Amino acid sequence: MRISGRALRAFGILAGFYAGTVGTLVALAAIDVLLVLHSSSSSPVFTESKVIGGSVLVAVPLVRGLVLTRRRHGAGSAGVSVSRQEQPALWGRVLELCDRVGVRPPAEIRLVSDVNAGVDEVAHLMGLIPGRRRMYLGVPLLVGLTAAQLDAVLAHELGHYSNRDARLTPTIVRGRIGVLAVLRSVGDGNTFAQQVTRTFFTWYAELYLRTSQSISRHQEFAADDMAARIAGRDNTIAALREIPVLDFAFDLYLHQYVSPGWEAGVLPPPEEFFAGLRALLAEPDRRAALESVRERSPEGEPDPYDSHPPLTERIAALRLLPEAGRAPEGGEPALALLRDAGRVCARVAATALDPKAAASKRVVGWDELARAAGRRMLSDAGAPVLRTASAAVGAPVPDLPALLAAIDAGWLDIIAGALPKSSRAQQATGRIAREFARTALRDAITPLALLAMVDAGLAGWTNSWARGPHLRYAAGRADALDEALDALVAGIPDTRPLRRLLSASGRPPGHAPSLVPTGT
Amino acid sequence: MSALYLLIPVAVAALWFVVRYRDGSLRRAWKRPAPDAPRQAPPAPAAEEPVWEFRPENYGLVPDDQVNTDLAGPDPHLVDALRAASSGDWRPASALLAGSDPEWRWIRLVSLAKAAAEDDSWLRTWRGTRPDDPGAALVAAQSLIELAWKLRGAKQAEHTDQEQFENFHRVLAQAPSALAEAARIAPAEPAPYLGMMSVALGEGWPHERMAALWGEVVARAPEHVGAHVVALQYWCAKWRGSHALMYEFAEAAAAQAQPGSLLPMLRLAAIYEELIGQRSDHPGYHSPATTAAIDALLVDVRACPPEHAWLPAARHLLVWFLWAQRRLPEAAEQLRLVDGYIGALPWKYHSNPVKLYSPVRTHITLHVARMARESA
Repeated sequence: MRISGRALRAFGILAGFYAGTVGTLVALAAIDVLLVLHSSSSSPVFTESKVIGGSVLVAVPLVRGLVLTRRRHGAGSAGVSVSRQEQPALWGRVLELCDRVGVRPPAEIRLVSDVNAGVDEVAHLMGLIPGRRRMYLGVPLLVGLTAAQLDAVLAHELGHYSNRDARLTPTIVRGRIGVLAVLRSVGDGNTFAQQVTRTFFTWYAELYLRTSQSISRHQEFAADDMAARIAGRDNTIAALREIPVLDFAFDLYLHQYVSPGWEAGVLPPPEEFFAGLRALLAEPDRRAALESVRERSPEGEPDPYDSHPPLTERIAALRLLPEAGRAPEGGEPALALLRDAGRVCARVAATALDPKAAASKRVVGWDELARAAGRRMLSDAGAPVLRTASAAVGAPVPDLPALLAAIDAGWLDIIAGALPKSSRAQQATGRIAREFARTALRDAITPLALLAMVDAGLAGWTNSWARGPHLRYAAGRADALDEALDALVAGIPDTRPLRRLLSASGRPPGHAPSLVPTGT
Repeated sequence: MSALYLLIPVAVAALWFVVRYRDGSLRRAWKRPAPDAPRQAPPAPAAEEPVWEFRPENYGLVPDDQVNTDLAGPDPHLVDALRAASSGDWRPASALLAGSDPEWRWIRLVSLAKAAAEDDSWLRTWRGTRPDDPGAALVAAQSLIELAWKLRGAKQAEHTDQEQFENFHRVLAQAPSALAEAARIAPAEPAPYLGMMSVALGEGWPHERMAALWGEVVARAPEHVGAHVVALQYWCAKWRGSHALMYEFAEAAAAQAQPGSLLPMLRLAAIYEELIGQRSDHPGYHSPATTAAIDALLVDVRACPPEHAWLPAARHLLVWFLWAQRRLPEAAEQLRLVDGYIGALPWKYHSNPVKLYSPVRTHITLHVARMARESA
């Protein structure tokens, strides 16, 4: 009852916010109209243009805030909708959970591609009339959580709808977003009228945020309670701790495997998309690294307006629960709930990508993807030094052989000096500056040399779930490359070791057009 | 309101001025001879002078801003060679290295190599003109080492970033072949092996490998002080050894040395290495072992030939340790012999050597002057 009263209060304040905003706008318009009608009586202080200009300045942020408040936020039609016939096990589970939580079941379940789960409802009249309820379920959660942990997550989300505040919740939350938007948009401007508006709205907004804040937080704790009752205390704690890890793992997976391939114009087969995440999570080394992320507990500065209490507080609250409830279950992932999981996951994976851009990509296996992505990364990383060299030499330096020819012709220090410098290198003079520049040049040439080694078959990219795609060298070649690069920028620069290394495969590096020697 | 706070220092300064003027000390200060007047006969001022009015030149000492922080003692030939090198003439440097004994050659080599690490145009001309000049090969090799350390910066590893380490290791890796070339030209010369010990330090060689290198050094110069000073760095705790290994090395060298070799200074260098950053009332400065080490070096300094390259450096260590033990008349005696140059331990470990040297010198000098007045 306490929460209910507070919810009504928050709702009232939000309604007041709308009414106040609209009222202010109407009053401003009325003043302007009156002023125009009685323009002869305008005093020298309140000239017509000043007042109208001032009212416009005040009105603009209010209108902006109002529009934002009214915009609906939600996942919309992202992901793939699965019917009861398609996924009877998943639906059966969700219906059972709804029954136990005591809420109306969703009309639709959508599988989405991110680390997320939630239930939303398109409520009408600021949340007073119930609407269509939709459940979102991220496939990464199905991959990374056990069935019992997934129950905890879903029970938590459904728990938000288990009492009668729930219907107001979307409005209250939407109101928070809108009020924050108004707060931000009235934040600038220094005329007197704007300062007055800002003072008033800041006060009002803080009142609202404070009131709705505790509602949101109470709801989170109550929903955690519900989850623990249904899925067991320990499963709920495990799920809460696992989700940040999964979030990080999924980011890592996209960043190390999928994005580099995307940049290189290749994609994994759709049915392999979430299988890759599963392979990554199955690696013991990765697992250890990810666990250490969890130990570090990524909570930074708490956001004063965040509706969720900190994870540590939520876990501490759960630990206080008297009985453990359902015992933790074995490690089989919740993915088993899906019928024909591979095909469904492939469909979800397809929705994660921009279809137009994806159509232009080649679908390849993981090893081929690592090769293509690695090659692309090296050629991207090697491009700047070629551009710098072309500009410094004043003639095209399109590839490594041309760059080596330029170094043989005495351009080394001129090209090195034209590369971007660190602040320390900028301050250096004489021989020290020269060596800083040469080290920078060595670093800049390294990707080009690696690319040449890959093309000559002396090194190759391999895929690894344990440590990410990486280069593997033919025996002894890694040291040979290091020595060759050192020789390239040594006191007396020598390109021969690198040329010898690259021609060891029998493919001699081509020769570039001769360059003008400088004699340096 | 805050502007009023500014008046406080102004008022304090005014008060000080009035008080000093009334007791006459300011009037006397204004009547002093100009600093560039001939510096002869330094009769200690008749009256007690406050510390803040201490003027080194009144006691026959060099003013703070004229103290040389590069050298441990005077070396006009080296100064000439450096000046010539900076104007592109390598010949004085070549003649100087050829005409020096191994101790002086190492000290002068390091100075020339430091100059070449900033600008090596004269060195390249030298190498081009006389490819088989052992001095040129030495400066070329040693300058790579000096250059590497300049690229790294003098900070500890945790304050050294990736770029600095990368440059350091890349340039240091070029030194061994250059040192080998210098050793090929002059096989009996110890300097390339001293340079190699710096490489061992930078690359973190294991102890056995360092011991083998040390064998090469002592085979060429068994009592070379410069070599022992470099090796002591390797064995100290902040590099590849420990306090125990450092003391063991210093003690072995000092105990076996001929009288006048100056190797007993290694003991004080080791103690300072351990006590660096401690106040002079630290027990380490007053232990019987420290007193014995000071006394042994005092004896060795008296037995040492006056032209020994490390004599000024030994005296600098004595000034510091005698001052720490408040043996101020003895400290003053050493101080007078080396004042004007502070490119030596302990001063050179300080980020601003004059800031460390100046108060110690003031303390010693004023104390001895007061004792002279009281006994008169």
